[in-house]
Amino acid sequence: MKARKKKPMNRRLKNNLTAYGFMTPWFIGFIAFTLFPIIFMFAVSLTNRKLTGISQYIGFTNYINIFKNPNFWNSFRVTIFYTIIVMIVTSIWALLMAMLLNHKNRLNGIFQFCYFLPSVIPSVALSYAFRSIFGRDAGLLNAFLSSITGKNVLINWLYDPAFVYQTVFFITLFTYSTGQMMLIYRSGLNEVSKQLYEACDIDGANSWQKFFHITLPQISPVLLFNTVTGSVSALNGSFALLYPLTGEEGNPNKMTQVLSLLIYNESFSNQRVGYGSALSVILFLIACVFGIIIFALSKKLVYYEN
Amino acid sequence: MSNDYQVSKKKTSKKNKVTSKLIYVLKVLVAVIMFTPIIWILSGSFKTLTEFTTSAKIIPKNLILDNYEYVFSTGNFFKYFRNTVLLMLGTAVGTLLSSSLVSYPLARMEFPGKKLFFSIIIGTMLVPEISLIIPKYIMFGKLGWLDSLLPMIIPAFFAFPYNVFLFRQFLRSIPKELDEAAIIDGCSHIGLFFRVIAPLSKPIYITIGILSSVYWWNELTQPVFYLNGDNWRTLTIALMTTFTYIRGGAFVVSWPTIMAASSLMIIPPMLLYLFGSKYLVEGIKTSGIKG
Repeated sequence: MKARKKKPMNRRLKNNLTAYGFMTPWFIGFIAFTLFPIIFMFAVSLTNRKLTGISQYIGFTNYINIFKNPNFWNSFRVTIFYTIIVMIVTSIWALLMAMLLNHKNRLNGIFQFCYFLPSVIPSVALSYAFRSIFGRDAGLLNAFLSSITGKNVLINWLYDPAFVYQTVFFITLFTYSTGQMMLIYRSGLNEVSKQLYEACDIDGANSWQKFFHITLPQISPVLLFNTVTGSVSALNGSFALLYPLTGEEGNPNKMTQVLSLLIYNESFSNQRVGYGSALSVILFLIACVFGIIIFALSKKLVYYEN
Repeated sequence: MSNDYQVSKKKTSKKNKVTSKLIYVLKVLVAVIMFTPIIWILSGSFKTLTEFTTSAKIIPKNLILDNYEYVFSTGNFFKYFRNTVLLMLGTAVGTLLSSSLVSYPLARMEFPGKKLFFSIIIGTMLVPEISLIIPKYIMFGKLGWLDSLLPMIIPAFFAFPYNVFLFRQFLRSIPKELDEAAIIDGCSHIGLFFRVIAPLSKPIYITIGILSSVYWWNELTQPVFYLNGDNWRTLTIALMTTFTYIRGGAFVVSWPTIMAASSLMIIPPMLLYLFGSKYLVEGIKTSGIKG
């Protein structure tokens, strides 16, 4: 006891060392599985490395070739478009489901089960289910539309350039990240103070006013969090959803070939790992830009207490 | 005066009734939309290939079990199942242990660099795994880890940022007075963590345990890149390869067997959800989320 009192410096040092000790797994993980791969990726992107491992330094040739390649520009556009729309669509849908579930009534447990279950099933299973639901012959949607309209609807939803995007965006409502967003919204909504709503009731505000003046500002930090993680999941999860859904070529006419599919296609099917690394660098930079934009916007739009 | 008040009250309660009915209808509609693919998978798993490709009826003509028989008898279903369970358990144990340890000082201690490290953790949350998968593929190849579960299990023992973040949110919500009392009693931080904080954090351990298990049970991307052979194949890859085509047939997609394998694959995450649903909302704390 005496020693402790006499040496506050020592105690602080011990405290700091304990804290760093707790954090050691992350230090190692960050260096080995994030920082090093990032540096290594830049290095490999400057070579013509093949899948077999043969490689030679070629400077910025990969980047020059990438920027000259129309396939890249197509994937670039598709990735930006896909990420932004998925981010918006899944955020809204998740919030809608969370708000519906917060209106508690009987059978709420069953509703939550129905809402959440699709997001816990494998994306491969989901992709195959939707490939047949949106199929041309004997697809569930075409059968449903035929029975409503009385005509024989024969649309190949996932292969028709006019419908493929709507169909894919609809399917993203069923993914893991949408379910997770819904959970986070639910706890965010639970933490909004009831008194604020009561105060509004006294003022005679209607549901819309309550939503825009209380719910939305109160959950805006959660909304930001979900938008950020949603954009990462869209960049990240696009592979697991689209690879079984529309293939590595991104059918039809490469319309759904996001960068992750192009990276897989170039690195494995074409065995050009160096080129694939350069594409990965670009994908990495896109993610950084998304992050920076969202945080810059959030400073203006998000409401924080204190 | 009082009459007026009564009338307006009646009006709002009538309006409320209409609104809540509308909400109920919307709730049912969303439930139908969300549950349709699952019904479709289940119904398809009992159809013959001919019926599947010619009719979109939800109720199959006659329930056949051939598709399930095919899944169990083709390839090595039980081996793929074992691999997937190993992947799920390994990553869950790894991330629960490491992420909770890492989050402890971030939530409950003061030390130099805390803000910086936390910002880096948030920053790395924004790095999509897929953008680093090529360099990691080469790296794990050099280590001789390819074609095994190691590239996915080992990193889990070194803390995933997203889980660290969720743990930190929860640990912050436990009253700080507990720590002070324990420290005065001569308890070290390690003792405090294992004897007080970890037991109190059961909801978040269960939440992340479930979310992580479900994630890895369903994971496709990393196995596609890291696994080639049949030995460590997971169920998600088997669904895209082994169970896709009809027996002996080259390129005829066997939809009903895919649906049967999918139905089987839905069961574990569904059970996990049913077991943990009450923790899922409780465990996630959003207070003080600041990006």
